[in-house]
Amino acid sequence: MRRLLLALPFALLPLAAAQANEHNHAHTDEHGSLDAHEHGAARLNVVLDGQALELQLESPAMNLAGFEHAANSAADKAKVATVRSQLQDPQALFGLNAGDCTLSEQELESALFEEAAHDEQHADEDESEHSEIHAQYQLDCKKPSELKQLNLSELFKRFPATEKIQVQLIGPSGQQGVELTPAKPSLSF
Amino acid sequence: MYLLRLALASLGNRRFTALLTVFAIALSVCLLLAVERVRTEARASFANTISGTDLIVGARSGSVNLLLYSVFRIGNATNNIRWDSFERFADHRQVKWAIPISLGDSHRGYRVMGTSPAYFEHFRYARSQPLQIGQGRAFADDPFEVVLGAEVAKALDYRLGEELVLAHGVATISLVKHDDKPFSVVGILERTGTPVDRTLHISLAGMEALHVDWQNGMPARGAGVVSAEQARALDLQPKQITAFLLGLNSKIATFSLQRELNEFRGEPLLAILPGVALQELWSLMGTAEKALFVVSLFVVLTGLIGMLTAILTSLNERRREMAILRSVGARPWHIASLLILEAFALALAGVLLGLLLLYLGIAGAQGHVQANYGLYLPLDLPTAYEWALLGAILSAALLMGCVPAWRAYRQSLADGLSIRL
Repeated sequence: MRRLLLALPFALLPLAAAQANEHNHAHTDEHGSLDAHEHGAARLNVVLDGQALELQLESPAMNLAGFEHAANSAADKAKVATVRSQLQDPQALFGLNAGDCTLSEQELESALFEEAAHDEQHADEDESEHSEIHAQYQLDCKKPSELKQLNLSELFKRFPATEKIQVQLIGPSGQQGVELTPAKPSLSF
Repeated sequence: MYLLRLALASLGNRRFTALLTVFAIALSVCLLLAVERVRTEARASFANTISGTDLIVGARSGSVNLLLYSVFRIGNATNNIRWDSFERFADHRQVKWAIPISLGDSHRGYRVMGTSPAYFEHFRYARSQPLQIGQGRAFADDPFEVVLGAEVAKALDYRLGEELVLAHGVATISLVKHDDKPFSVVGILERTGTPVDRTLHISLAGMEALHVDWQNGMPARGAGVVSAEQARALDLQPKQITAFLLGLNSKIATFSLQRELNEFRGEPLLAILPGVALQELWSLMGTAEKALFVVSLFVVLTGLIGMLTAILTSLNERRREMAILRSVGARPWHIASLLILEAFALALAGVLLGLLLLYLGIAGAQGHVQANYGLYLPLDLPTAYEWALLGAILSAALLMGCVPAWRAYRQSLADGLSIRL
């Protein structure tokens, strides 16, 4: 019996080796780690350099649309369309009313939007996964010195499921990292 | 005015208790201001340590951890990163300059940092100030050259041309020394008031040469030993570094490069924005700071209550004093204001003595604190906030003075010259 027990690790060795191979395989194929995904929390990167202002918002779709599955019903599709149009107004969303800024480019990206656009080809794959909404804006500000602060109260109002936004801001006074909430929605540049 | 004179004369009569009370208040005020000052100065000096660096990159761990070991020389790296990863991102089109950092050795408690000449050119501290070489020059091609921070040179009394031996590891007393490969001092930096002052800078080649013959974390013995002369002839290209600092052509690219670094497939890297990590550090320390502040507030309160007790207990003994004052024409409100003035005078003396103690303390500890903690405590006048704190203490004392004043007022109305005890 004892001898058998001693032999057990050796018997299991090929199995372990096989698993190790598989493990490596998985690593080379995909990224080593996954992005954090926390409902209620979003991330916003803002950079102001000269006249160029760039904003990147990353949020779980849950915060903005209220669901993360593919939009199948008519109600869901309508909701996705509303979210999309609400996101297309960065000046209001981020309270950028000074500085004479005009939107030069914007990009909205999400599994939800794709499916709304060209139907449910790969809806099945994504259904169980969390989905994110990424929004990227480039603005051109003629008077950047007048741009005093960022105010997210409109964003919190439009998307009440968003409880906090982790903001990284690079402005004339350097780098800042602050967590903004509906109670404290603004940050000066 | 005569009231104040009377109050002081009465205090003078009880000078021993009065002095003790003043001293208690002074100590508490000194503590409160010291906590406040160390807090603000620690923030200022931390914030001044790095400037102009857009990203710090290291092995994947926590952003605060990476910031602490790469910039403040506090703690250690969890892992090193490959040299080819550094090269890849140093040549990135968005990158203007890159400074490699290699840590792990020390010299008599001061950290040794391996880096490249780019460090002296691009590193900025405080408000975009470059590093200045006070004496000598930056290290050049010879691997065994070291540039000292100002504090290292001063504390250990090193001059240009002297030779020193580095130790393996970062403990203050290290048993393993690199004594086969001494370094010579070729430059001493100007004082910056940052951890740079407490760092010895050597080239990456020097760092590599120190460990070229090491095997399994132990120095080689016998035939395996590579002498300093032999090491010079070797290819001393480092294979790994601890972290690197990046400056970018355009700040707009910061976030996209950060993402690119964090998603780099070659090895797990972490890129952080130093300003953001610093604020994360504040939010961690904020709780401890608040706790310290609250504790020192309570100490001040205790001091003031001590004063209140001292005045209140003296009231009974001073019934005769009050009665005599009344008999020579003092009104009850005179007696009351006498006691308020007394409380105020005690608190004021306490505050002034507290300030004196604080400045004496700062003057005495300045050098030591700077050398050991890298914290520069200036002998500045109190800030507006500190004045406000002092004002609040004085008004609290005035308020507290009202309690004995009220009692004395009542007593002086009731008591005659002959006191019924």
